[in-house]
Amino acid sequence: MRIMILASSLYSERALAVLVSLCSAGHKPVACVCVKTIHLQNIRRKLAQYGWRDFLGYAWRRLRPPIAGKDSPSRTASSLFADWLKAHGVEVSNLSQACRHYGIPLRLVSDVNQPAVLEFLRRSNPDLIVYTGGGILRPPLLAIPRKGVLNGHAGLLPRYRGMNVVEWALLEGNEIGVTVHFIDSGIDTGAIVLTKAVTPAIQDTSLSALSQRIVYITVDALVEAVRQLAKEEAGEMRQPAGGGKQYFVMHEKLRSLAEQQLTDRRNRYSA
Amino acid sequence: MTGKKSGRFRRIASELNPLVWPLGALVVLYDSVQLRWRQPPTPYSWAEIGVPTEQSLAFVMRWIAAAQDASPDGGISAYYSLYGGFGPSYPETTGYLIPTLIDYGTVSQDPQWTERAVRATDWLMHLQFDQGAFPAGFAKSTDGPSVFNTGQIIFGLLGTYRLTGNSAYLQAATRAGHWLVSAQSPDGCWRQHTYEGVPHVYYTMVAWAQAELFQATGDDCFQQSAARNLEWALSHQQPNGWFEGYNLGGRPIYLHFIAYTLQGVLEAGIRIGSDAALQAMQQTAEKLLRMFEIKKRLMGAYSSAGKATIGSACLTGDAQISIVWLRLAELTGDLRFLNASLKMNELIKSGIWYRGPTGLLGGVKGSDPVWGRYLWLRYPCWAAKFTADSFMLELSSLAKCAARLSPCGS
Repeated sequence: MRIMILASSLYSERALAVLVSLCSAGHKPVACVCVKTIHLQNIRRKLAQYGWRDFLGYAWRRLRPPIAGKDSPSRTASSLFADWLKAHGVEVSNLSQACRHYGIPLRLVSDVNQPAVLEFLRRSNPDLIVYTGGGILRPPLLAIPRKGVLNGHAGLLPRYRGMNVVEWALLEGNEIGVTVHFIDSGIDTGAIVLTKAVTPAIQDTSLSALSQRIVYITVDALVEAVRQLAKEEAGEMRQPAGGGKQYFVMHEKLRSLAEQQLTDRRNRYSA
Repeated sequence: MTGKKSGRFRRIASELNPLVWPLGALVVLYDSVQLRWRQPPTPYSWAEIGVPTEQSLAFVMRWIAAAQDASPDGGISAYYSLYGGFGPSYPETTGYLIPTLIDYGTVSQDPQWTERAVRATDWLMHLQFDQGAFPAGFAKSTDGPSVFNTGQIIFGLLGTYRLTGNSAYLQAATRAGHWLVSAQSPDGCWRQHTYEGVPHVYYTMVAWAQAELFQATGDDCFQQSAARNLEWALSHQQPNGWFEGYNLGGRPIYLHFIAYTLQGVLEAGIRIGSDAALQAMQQTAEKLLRMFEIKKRLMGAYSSAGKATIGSACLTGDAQISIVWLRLAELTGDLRFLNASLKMNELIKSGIWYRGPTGLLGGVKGSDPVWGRYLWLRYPCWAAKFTADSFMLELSSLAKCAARLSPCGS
């Protein structure tokens, strides 16, 4: 099966983990398309997303050396990721090095929906695109791969669509988990390939730590879905129209309640 | 120059106060600079501005107290304008500000707020016409009876009756309610004694008052009055969830009026047990939630097709919509409504003055920026009222949510 990867940045841990896991599982991608980390359009988009003040703060936090004990797990996650890579016997630190290591062509683009990128994708004739980030995908791109574009969603579909769904599921006292599904024109509404429940573990000391662990659970689920699709074993479940709810970014005050829910649930499971 | 514009400048000329307008000019300048440089709300940053809701609430209530102290009669000043200072007492908004004063008295455990509520109610009692109605506008001797004002004053009369147990307030409210029944058309719409002499769909706020009166008196005529008006209003809802029939004489349909309609439908619907009303307004409230979450703000006015028609925000409407979402979160248990209202309240807080002279301190501007079309260059008392209500509801909703989620609460 001809697989391609779409990535949001050369430094995306998620994209790197998917690429390494797919190669380790014997499903080496035929190419990788990655959005350039620094280019005007990306900076403009980030500015629109974060606002200039948060953008500068974000840039500063990423550029300065990490402070142990002070920075959030996402900032110091490199050690967790380094352990993960070591466990897979790979010594690379970004997508560019990984592509060189595995001999996979890498194409850097400023927008995945550009006509030139679409042309490149069509010429590559993929059966499946694995999405790890890179912005909103327009219908012409979604129509290119024979099987579709696969996404790993950090929530159980069809119930939890949208953003911060781990936090929302915790807050509503429901099961947390991940879903691998095909992307369609809606928000997390495409056919479901597989779902995997996640139980809070003793190491999930915060929502950030849990989210970090869920990234790797999602990567494993994506690789499992690719394996099933390659063997034509995957069952695709169409989502019911109007099923579930779309969630939005959670306010800090509710997030702190969700954090409390995580602690309670973790204590319950570990008791 | 259009009639409206010349009217605006005539008003400014008549109210211009040399002790007020120089500071007002600085506020306009500050708003311009802030508009240019302030942090835009984004999907990923809902940074709190560092002022807890309790503190913001205290500032807003301080503004309301100042607006009452600025009036010699015990009523609450309609607005603070950047060119003329505090305006005259306004019966309609004084009426519905009374429950806010009483609620804050309970929250703060400070008796001055209930004393203020009684003082404001006593002023309103003097304004009641023999037939039970209350006057339109600023209660000048030439003003005739007004359906909307009478409805909103009923809230105040009932609030003070519950607070003091003095039956005179209940009797006044009942007389007002009976006058409203007599002025209502058989189809439930109010057509006479209305703003500009035409019916308005946002008079569901009057239906809410009638429903409250039914709860207080048990008199079925008030329930029937509320039910008929709700039925009439719901017949104006379009398939896309928006309402028609605001009839604002070509002026924009400000979010304030959209929110009035929703608040009226919701609260009257709850009180008379109308599931149809709740479902109808929930459709519109969800639509507004989605628009707010995606765009990160609501605009100050919308067409009947749901398109924004002005470029500024209407903070009064924002606070009212926040209240609607908080009430829906309580009723349905859907925490997405609570989430959206928390964000909305952060936006409103960011426009409040936490330092400055009386009139500005704790005031909530009509429009954001302050020179927007709705209540141009003014800080209306009803923006402060709905903001205070929204903050109090936020605090109680969050406390209830935390209690429900805590191990002992579950």
